[in-house]
Amino acid sequence: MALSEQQANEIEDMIPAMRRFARGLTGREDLADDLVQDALTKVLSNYDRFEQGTNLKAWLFRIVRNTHIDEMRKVQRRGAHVDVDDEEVVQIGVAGSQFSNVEMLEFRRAFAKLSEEDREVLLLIGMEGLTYDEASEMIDVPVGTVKSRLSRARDRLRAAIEAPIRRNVMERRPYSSGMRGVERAHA
Amino acid sequence: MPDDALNSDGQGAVLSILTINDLHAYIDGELDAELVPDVEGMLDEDPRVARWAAAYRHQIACMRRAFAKGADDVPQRRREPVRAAVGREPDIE
Repeated sequence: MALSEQQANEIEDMIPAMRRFARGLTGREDLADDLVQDALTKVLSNYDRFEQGTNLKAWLFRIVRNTHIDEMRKVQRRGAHVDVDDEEVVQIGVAGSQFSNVEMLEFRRAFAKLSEEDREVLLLIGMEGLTYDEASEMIDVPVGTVKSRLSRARDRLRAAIEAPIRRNVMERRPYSSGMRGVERAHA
Repeated sequence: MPDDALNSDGQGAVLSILTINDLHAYIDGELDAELVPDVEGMLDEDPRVARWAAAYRHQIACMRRAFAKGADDVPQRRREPVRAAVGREPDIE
């Protein structure tokens, strides 16, 4: 079906969000750009399946996510391995004031080590601000699962970021592995 | 609640009601309104909880920084197919 001017504008307005999500999923700008291109092609050819009045952002993200999953399966079948592009990581960190290049580099490396499942829940909620309900609908799991996945993913990301630091710093961090131990001890 | 649910600084009582998921929900603006004062009380009273929250907020800020920068500068070639679909049948893959 053809798009109205307004429908095209709505999709266009979501391209930056699709790009952010794709970058987080792939870890690389070039792959993210390809992913967004492929996803937009599917969006345009399947737009008649979008239920007007429902959440466009969630629908678009679902297409980005499914396209990414399909691509990852193809890559796995070929036995290829995708690395985070370090040069690009450094470039992205250049103008940062609050964040150093090294911190950004380490963050992206740590993020890339997470599972697809962890990355998507972190991105959808922390970066894109989807509600837990929207994320639940989008990845097709109950809200309780979204909550526990999010909590575990954040713990794993924190552990992955802190791993290189721990080798040098002998500081005790009571909550660095989460507070579950405390909860259990007093439950 | 039994007395042994309290630890020495009294925080155990709160932790036995609030879960780690509630703390994340607070950070994400998703916590039930009635539990918000409990979490805010913990943040005020226990520096460990405050550090915990600050660490996860920083993690979220890092993620935005890492992936959002420049995402708004959409190349024209990405917009064109969307514009081209206005008022006509889109190409099928």
